[in-house]
Amino acid sequence: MRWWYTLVDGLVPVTVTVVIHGLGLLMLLINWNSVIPEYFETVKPTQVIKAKLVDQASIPKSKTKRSITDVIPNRPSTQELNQQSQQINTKPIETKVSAAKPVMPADTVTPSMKPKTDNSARRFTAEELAQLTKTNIDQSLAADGESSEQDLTASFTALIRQTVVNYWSRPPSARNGMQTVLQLQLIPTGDIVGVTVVQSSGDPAFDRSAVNAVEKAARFPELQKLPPREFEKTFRRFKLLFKPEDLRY
Amino acid sequence: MEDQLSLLDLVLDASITVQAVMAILLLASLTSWFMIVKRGLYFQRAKSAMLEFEDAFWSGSDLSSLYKDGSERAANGELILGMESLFRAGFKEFSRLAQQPEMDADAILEGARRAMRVAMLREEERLEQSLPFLASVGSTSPYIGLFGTVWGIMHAFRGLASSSQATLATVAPGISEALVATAMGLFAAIPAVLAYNRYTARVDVFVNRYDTFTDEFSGLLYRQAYALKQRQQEQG
Repeated sequence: MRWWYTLVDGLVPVTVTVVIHGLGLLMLLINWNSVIPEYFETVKPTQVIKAKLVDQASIPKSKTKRSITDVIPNRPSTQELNQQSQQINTKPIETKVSAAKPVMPADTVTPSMKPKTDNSARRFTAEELAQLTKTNIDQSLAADGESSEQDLTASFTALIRQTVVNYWSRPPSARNGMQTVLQLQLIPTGDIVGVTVVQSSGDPAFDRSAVNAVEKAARFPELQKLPPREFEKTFRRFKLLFKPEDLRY
Repeated sequence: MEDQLSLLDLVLDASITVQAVMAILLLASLTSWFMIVKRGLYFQRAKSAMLEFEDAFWSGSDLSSLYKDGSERAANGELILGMESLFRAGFKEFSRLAQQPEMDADAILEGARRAMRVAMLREEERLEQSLPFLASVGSTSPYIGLFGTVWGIMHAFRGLASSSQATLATVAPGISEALVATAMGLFAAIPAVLAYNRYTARVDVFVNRYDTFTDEFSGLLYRQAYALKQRQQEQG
């Protein structure tokens, strides 16, 4: 009888202690990443986006409509953007990549994509992009009275998608049907503070091109106009799906 | 662009002081949970033993047979605790003093009461075992955790001062890992405080019942002592 009590006295408290601490740790680990709502957004250069790219060709017109003084204060990001993209280009990883692959002229890359649209897209300067996005957002904000928050969110989503697509230059190894899912973390100023590959396509070059596209976009200052609640709901952390569908093979 | 902070990174990247604080708090938490469960088991056992003994005591059976029964169990290696040990101490002293003819009833009773008081103190000590530890974990571990947090934040801000580009991202991980210390302190403290309060209340209940039993038993012994002495006087 006595040995039984000693056993219970020793064993039960130890087990309970370990179980309780284990449970606490488990709950902490489970909740660590899943608190934030997840949001899927697909980036695929399809017909729709090509249509929008055509629309971008009309930028100079809209630019002439607006006075330059009006434009400049609204895009404090352009210089930063350029700087950041330069910084990214000088990153050690980047140089390593270009060292591993002989530097390809742009022409050899483009044949695997839609030649016209992508070339024109890449030629957009950050200035033009900012201008373009500004007009888009201004339109949606102007119609704010009627448009619901969903519309607003949708337009910002479109903006982000468009910006990222414009910066996306796909490697020659890209094939139709490849899928890369990136998780983006944004802060309310519109800066991207984190990019991680959630689901790899299996092709490192393709993954890297997607990450590069996001890193070049660097920030979406227009998100500052979004009401904070909406921002928290959808843009604090969301996923981007990169899936080319317009390639020849 | 950095990856999402993981919990493990938070703990492993912390400075040595903060890590030491975390280790102390983890140890305190583990120990206090061990004690909480152990005490809980002890109280449960003490309560069931007390109820069992009360039943046996008031069932009207002979006191000396009850005593003998207890002696047998003690010889078997069973530990006799709680109310029964009070009874045994009192009864033993009573029967020993009653055998001496020069003792009068009051003196016998006084002796028995004294023996019971000693046993009672011993029981109280047993009941309150490891409660002071719970009390000190409950009261100090939030402070220990706070110390770790303050230390970690101090370091984080020092890092901010030395970096040219001051952004939230340079301090945020430091503060986050520092706050883990406070969380752990609270995690250790809350159960300890709850358990301490509950267990002190239970100790009070036990002590009250032991007190009542002592008085009742003394009354019983008083009657017996007078009856015994009267019989002795009649004989002698």
